[in-house]
Amino acid sequence: MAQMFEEPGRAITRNALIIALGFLPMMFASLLPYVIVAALMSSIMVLSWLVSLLLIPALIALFNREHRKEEVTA
Amino acid sequence: MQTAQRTIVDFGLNKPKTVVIGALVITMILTALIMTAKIDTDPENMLPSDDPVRVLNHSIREDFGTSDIIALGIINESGVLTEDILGKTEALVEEINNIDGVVPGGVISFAAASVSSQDADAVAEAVANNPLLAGKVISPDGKGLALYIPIESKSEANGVSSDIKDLESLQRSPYKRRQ
Repeated sequence: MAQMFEEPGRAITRNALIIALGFLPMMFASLLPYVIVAALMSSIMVLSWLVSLLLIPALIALFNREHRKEEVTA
Repeated sequence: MQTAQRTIVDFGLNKPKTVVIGALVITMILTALIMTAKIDTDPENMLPSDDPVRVLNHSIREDFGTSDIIALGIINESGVLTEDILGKTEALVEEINNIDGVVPGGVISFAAASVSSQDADAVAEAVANNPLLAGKVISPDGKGLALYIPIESKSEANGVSSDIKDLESLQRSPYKRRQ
């Protein structure tokens, strides 16, 4: 399972990193709404990266486990 | 980065319940925090409060003693220069001056001059000839009055304007309410 995440994981990581970094220059804008949007978008990208790599494997593992249990009892 | 990614994926696979419950808890905490979010529509806040432009603007305001203003319009299609409307407007100005957050005695209006209806036309003419007031406190067609209400702080603008809307004398005729 961890191996399965290797390649898409690399793509997810790089994509999140590039977009999060891409929004950071806006942090130096003089208008506050721009700064807020930059911080928001960057943190959203970091958060979605974490969720993709952490929550999705966890959910798959969880449902997989229940699935297996059903197979055993059946 | 590759090993960090591997660590994260492994953690999700090994402790799925912890991760799912943790995600739910964090989601609930952040949802609760949304309640504390405040909507700020003041364009001035688009600049940081220590921005040189804002500081200069503030110091000029201090020097000249200017304050932000709420405008209140009174409209009567058959003319506002009647004793009834002028008297009621004068009472209204009195009430507005007593509202918390309004600069005391600062309301600029035609009625504040306290004129009887006989003099009203003469005063209206004088107002029309005064370039500072013409078309400002009374409309050129004589159907509208304007009240300019200076407020102590812009952050109180909403509270003060709803206080004004709640004033009893504004709820009665002859004033027509317009949101």
